[in-house]
Amino acid sequence: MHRKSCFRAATRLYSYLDGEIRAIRRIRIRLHLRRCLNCERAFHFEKRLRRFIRERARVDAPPEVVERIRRLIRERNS
Amino acid sequence: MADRANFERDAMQYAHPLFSAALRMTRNRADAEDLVQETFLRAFRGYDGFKEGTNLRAWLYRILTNTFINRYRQQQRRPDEVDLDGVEGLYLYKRVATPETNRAARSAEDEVFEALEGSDVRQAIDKLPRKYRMPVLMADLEGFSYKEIAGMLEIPIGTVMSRLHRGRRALQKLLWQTAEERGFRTPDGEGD
Repeated sequence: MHRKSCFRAATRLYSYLDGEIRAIRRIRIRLHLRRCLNCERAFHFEKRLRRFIRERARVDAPPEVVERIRRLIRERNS
Repeated sequence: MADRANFERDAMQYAHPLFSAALRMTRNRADAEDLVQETFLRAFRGYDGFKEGTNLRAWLYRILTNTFINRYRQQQRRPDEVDLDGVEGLYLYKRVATPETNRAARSAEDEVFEALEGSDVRQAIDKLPRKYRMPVLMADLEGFSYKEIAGMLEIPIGTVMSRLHRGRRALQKLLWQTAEERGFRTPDGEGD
C-alpha cells in the first residue's frame, strides 16, 4: 500500500476517467494502478458504473415522434 | 456551410440520443417530445450556419440545451429531493467492496449492478437538482468535455467540475439507497 499515491490517484479519479488530465499525470496514475490492486479495483468499478448508468439511461424516441419530425422537416424542405 | 436538403439524412440519426437527453432534462415524456421536435426544427432553420465537418451531435445538443434552458427558465422547480452535502467520494464502491482476501464476496461488486434496473437509474438521475443534473447528463451520458459543457451551460470550467463532482456523488448515494430498498445488502452480511 502506498498511501500518498493512493490519495493522489483518488483525487484525480474523475479527471482521469473524463480524459481531462495531463499526459504525465495520466501515466503516473496508470503506473500506480498497475501496482495497487485496491485503487485498480476502485477505478475499475467507477468506470463500470459510468458505463452502466449510460446504458441504462438510454431511452429511444417513440417512432411516431421521429416520424412526425421527419414529416415536418420534409414539408419545410419542399 | 451545410445544405438544408441534407438535414434529415445527417441529423435524424441523433433523434434517439437527443430524446434520451431531453427526457432526463424535462423529466416528463410529453415535454421531452416537444423539446426534441422544437430542437430539430430550430436546427433545420439554422442549418445554414452549421459548419460541415464539425461535430453535428454537439451542435444539436447545444440547441437542445439552449431550447430547454430558455423554455423552462421560469418553470417552478421541484423541491430538491436529494441531500448533496457530506457525500463522500467512491460512495457506492465503498459500500460494495470487500477486502481483497475475501475472494468469494468479490461478486458483490457485480451484484449491485444486477440489483438496479434501468428505471432505477433514470429515477435517480431525475432526483438531482437541475444545476447538477445537466453537467452529469452531458459528461456521463454524452461524453462531452468539461470545456464543451462549460460552453453549453455558460458557466466556468471550475464550476462544471465542482457540480459534476457533487452531482456524481449524490447520484451514487441515490443508487445505493435504491439498491438497499431492493434488498441489496453489504457483503459483510449485516442484513436487516
